[in-house]
Amino acid sequence: MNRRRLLSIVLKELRQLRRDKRTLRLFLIAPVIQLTFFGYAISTDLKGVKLGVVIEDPSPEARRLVDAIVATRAFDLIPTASARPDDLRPWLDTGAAQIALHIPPGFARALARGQAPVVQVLSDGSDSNTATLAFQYLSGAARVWASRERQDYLRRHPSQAVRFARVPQVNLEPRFWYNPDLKSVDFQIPGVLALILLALGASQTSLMVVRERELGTLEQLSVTPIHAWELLVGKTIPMAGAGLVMTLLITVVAYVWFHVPLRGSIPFLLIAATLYLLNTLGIGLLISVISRTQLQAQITTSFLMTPLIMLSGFLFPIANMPQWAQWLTVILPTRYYMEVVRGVFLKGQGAAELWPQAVVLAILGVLLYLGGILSFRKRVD
Amino acid sequence: MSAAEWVVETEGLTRRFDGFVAVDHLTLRVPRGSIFGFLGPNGSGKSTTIRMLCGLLKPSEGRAVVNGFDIERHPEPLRQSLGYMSQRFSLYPDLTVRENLEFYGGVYDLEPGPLAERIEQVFDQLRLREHGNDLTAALPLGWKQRVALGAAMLHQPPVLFLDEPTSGVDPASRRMFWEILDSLAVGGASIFVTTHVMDEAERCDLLGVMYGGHLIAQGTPAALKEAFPGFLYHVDAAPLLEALEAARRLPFVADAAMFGDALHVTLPADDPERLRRELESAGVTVRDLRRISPTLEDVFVQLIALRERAAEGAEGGGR
Repeated sequence: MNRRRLLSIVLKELRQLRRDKRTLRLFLIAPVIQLTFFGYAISTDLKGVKLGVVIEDPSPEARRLVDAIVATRAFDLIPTASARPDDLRPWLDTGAAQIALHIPPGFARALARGQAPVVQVLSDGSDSNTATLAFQYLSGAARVWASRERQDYLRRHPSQAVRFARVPQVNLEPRFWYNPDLKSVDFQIPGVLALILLALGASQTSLMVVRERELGTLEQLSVTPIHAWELLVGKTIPMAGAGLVMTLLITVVAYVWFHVPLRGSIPFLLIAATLYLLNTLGIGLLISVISRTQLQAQITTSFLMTPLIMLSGFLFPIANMPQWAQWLTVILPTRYYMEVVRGVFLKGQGAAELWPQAVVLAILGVLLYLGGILSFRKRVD
Repeated sequence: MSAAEWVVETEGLTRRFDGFVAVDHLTLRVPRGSIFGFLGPNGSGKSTTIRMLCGLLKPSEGRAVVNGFDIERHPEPLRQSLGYMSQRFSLYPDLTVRENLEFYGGVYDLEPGPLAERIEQVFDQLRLREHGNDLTAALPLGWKQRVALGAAMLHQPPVLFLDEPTSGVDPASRRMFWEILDSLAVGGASIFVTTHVMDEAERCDLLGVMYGGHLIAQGTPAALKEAFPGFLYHVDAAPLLEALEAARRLPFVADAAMFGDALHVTLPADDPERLRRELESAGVTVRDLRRISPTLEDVFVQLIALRERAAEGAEGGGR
């Protein structure tokens, strides 16, 4: 290895980067835009679902059920004065409501007799995500309401308590650990780290290498004594540096601005980021091997980014994917880094819990990076 | 002459691209310390040859030794001992002239101290100091070409390969560029240069002419002109275009070509009066007709024309 040749490349890259105001701006703006998107715009929290209610049993119990549902703050009640069961279908058909609740006559009476009252829920399944989530919120609200009703009943009829006391009671009180408020911001903002480092590694690296091919400087370098790996390592070192700076930047913004809890080890986060960068830079190098123009590199990058992000668990849980897709995620570095980032931010984990992910990231990273360097041909034919 | 005196030596050097032969069994010897001009029409195999000699392309067949290093067996010392200027611009436009040179110096493993001195030398030699701290992108083409030459010669390679270094450069810059090449050759460097410009070819010590992947002529400019087949006449006639057509129709005319505002006509025998008679009987006024010695351009055009005619003949005979 020749240190001077390597350092010449690093110095050259830094000098070029310093003059490339557009890319520098991009480095700064891209994380801000992504943080804004995932911090404010895109949310998997349920909010503002339009709910239509038909109450054919104007009892206090029915009223309390609706109150419990409203208390979830997930729903907007559409104005439903004097609504009748015939309204239910048109609501869904016209989109006036996304979900509709029908409380039939005899609701309170059934309750008083100790029977389980029946209510009907109709939901617009064309947006299955919202429908599923809304249904879960509704069930949750119904459970809360039911347990309150029961306590209320026992308070008013203490004589019955003896009878009930014999029946073992299961009281479901869901408590979400690590992200107690179930705020999707807390879940997604750390994920932006994985996204940005992927974009930086894959896109910027491949562009930088392919640009030299387009410029003709790659051919010029091919007649010099420099080795392909010196060139590529030299080019990726400044990128890795930029990646670590951005990791710190995003971490600070996530903590200070978005109040994402940061419970775990920051040094471990940086070590994992370095290992993850080895992966993304390797992907970038591999893309540059097969691309002759910057446009080709860009298209290949976006083609690869989609599965890398979609299957990483960033937006959709891996456990919800079909079996074959779950197997596929085993080789995706994005998946492991996502686990590390969320572990460090939300669970307060560090090397003790996340070392397996770090080891896999290291193995995949070495394979991708070496693969990129070895398949890069120094000769330009 | 011993092998060490050849700076480039090829034997049967061949390169094929998908069924087409760009360089066809080229055997070439270039003496050390000379400026070797590599001529030939576009697509004749000049650049492919240079790219093989620099180690950028693998030969399909044959061998070549550059500065004593077999291009396939010793690529590493070969790279350290040559400088290359491709047809394409090969500098970083977003670096200054000095930064470009510093970068290439580092790539050639020059130590910082000596490199800084060497850059000063190159600045003086190539007259680059004035724009040393300017971005390369902002320089006129003539300057850029000088910077590219500077980058190629920074590590003082014994061999320089320059592929059309002056294409698109204005005459003044072109002249300056060649003065620099002359001084480098005086300093002992061997220069292998391709060009389409005949007054540049005139400045070379030795010329090789490529056509269809073959070396069809080699020698000093004087020797090539000496070997011009037939007799060349300068014909000032009116109307010029009709004169050209008439001359070409004449069976005893070997070649006729437009040359400025006159014709250059080649006859196998020294019989200018017959040419004058025939042209005038074709209705052309001949104002001046005199024998001249051929320029390199005449030699070049003639060589190519002969080859083309031979190729057409072979094709016609085959039918």
